[in-house]
Amino acid sequence: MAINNDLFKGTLQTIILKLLAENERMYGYEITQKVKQITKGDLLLKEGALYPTLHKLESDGLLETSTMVVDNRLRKYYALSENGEVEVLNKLQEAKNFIHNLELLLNFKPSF
Amino acid sequence: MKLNQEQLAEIRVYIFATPRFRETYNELYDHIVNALEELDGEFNIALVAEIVTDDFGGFSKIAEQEVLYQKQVIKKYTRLIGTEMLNSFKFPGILGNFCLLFFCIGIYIAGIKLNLNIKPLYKGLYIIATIPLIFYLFKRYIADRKHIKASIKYEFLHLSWMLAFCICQVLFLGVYHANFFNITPTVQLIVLSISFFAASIFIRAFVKLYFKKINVLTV
Repeated sequence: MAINNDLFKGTLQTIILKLLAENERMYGYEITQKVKQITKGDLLLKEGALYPTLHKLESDGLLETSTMVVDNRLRKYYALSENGEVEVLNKLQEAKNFIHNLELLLNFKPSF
Repeated sequence: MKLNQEQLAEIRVYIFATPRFRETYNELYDHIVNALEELDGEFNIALVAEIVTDDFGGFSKIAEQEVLYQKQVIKKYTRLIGTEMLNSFKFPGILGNFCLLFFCIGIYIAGIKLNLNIKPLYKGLYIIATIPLIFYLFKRYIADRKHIKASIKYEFLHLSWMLAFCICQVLFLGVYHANFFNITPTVQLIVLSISFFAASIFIRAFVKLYFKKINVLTV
């Protein structure tokens, strides 16, 4: 079952930072494919949301960029900056707390 | 699908008009080619249109996002130049600042005791203020002359030289030439010395940032 994409818009920064923490550097298309692969196609990260978020994180100093020529075209890579490495831990903790509170609020019960 | 040179050229032509800046254009082009290479079947330009509409929300959305991106790039470089200016107060940069400070104090003392003509110092300040303009013109019209599209970084360079030039103009007209604020020669000298000190720190930070971040391929 596909998940409503609106649900994960608020955690997009956290998802991107976490993926970059696990991979040294990634380019835009690679990030969308990684999300698709991990969630088995349940979550589709649209480019219209991805690039503005990447650019925002870059302007906030959480990401660093580099460019490489691949197959005769320029490819822009994103990697965590020093500040980004610290921020990813804060964002993950924030997400963990949020999920915990959501569980309490929505009163999830085990399905078994 | 594996795309041939003709098909790649067709994609480039299709997306060329919308992005104003080459950084956005390159990122969009790379993304579309990657997406097409994952697909099976025959190439058709309609597939590119589909990717642009479905994934990016259409060309109008791309143009909107580009405006936002330009603001973020200016914010990023403003933050970086601020960091460079602060770094000049750390070792070893602070040694240069000490030399500059002694030089400014020297100007002040010489101005008071020897009744120094300060007009050449204003001209010096103007010369310092034109440095960002020279870098901007060089980058845009000489170093990047082969690029068809403008860089998203130009706006920051443009704003930098405008800021430096406007401050100099205000100082020259408002303090020295017309003396709108009716201040004494001693205060004029203090304003000039402080401006000289601040402008030098700004210009050194600007030049460092230019070579480290602006005069490179990436944003």
